Amino acid sequence: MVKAWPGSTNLGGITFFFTTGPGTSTIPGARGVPAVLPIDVPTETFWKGYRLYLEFAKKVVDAGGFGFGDVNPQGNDTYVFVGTILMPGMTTAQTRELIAPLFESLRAVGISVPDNYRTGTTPYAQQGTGVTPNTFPGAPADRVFITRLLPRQLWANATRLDLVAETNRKTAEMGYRVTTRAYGPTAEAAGYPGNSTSAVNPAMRNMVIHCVIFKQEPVDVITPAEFLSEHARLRARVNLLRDQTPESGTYFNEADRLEPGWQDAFWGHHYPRLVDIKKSVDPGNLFWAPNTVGSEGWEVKTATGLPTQDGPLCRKEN
Amino acid sequence: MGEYSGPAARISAALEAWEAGNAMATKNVTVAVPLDQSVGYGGGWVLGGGHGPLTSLHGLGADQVLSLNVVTADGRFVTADLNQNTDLFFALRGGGGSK
Repeated sequence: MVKAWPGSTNLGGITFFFTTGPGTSTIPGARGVPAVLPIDVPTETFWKGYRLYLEFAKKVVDAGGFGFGDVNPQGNDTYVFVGTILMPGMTTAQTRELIAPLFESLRAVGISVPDNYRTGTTPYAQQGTGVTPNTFPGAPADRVFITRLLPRQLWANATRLDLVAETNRKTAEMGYRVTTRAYGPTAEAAGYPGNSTSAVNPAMRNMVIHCVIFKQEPVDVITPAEFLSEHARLRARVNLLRDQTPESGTYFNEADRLEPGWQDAFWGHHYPRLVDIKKSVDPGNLFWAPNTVGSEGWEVKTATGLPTQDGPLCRKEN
Repeated sequence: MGEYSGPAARISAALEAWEAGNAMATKNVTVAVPLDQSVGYGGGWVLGGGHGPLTSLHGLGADQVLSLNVVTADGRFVTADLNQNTDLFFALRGGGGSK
């Protein structure tokens, strides 16, 4: 049984973009991006704009909204920023009003978001038929990504947010797609009973941005050795974010299979209690999966050395 | 349900977001669901947290849950809520599914 709210909900929405060159829309998963992206600004201006968006994301979250802010490297030192802000319950006019200070600050550094940015109000719930082979032809390629949650403390300390923005810039300059989803499931938003009892990662109660770094190229066509090397390269980038956000963690559902210190990263101070509950309700460890509560004693041994589950489940040797 | 008094919906584990969307549109009601239409609601999305467009307003998928009917490892079909199997109720809302 879950909570419900009477009536339908509308989502006020805005999508805008700017780029360091005449970008084209070859962006995986981008929502509402036109085929031609004419907002061409100098590189340093672009990154000022990125920093301004990060700053503004907290206002979106605090106003009850959800933001996407993605840097898509296009090669040749060209980057496309796509921002999408969804405001539940707001009209288009209210959403425009909310975002006006961001556009104003972007203009002040030389980024004039054009009048043709996409706005609208869409129903949150609508009749549909889901994803079928007809609406989503072909299989998506396997891509590797790693996640870090950015805590509210960064927004109280400009130097810390500067460092994270700089790390993300360098990561994008190495060719990675640097995405952010701004949302904040605070205890207040969660309400009863989530605010009083729940195993939700305490880092999620304190977050403003869920940062996901993607290697753009598919990884299902490279050798296991290449995969592990590519993974280590990406991991090193996200470890910088981790070191810059020691009070935070990551999101279990979109996590790295090789997340270091996953117990703390996924559950923080809840972990010991979760282990006790797991031992009590499943003493025989019937349910097992890697990086889940109480999974430490076992491992899947794979022929390739890849962190898949294609192999026998074995007791870990001490 | 504990101190909660308000509308509630019963959701089955296999429900995908688009199916919940259809039900919401038909019944003129709002429930927090995943943004991507093919994501299943009642499994890993809720167990691991579960974000969506309403998260900053109403919390995660795990925060929507008032009561769960589950089969435990020893084959029992139990209800976990604020009054019974409270440890399980705590753990299932954010403690993680499989992957």
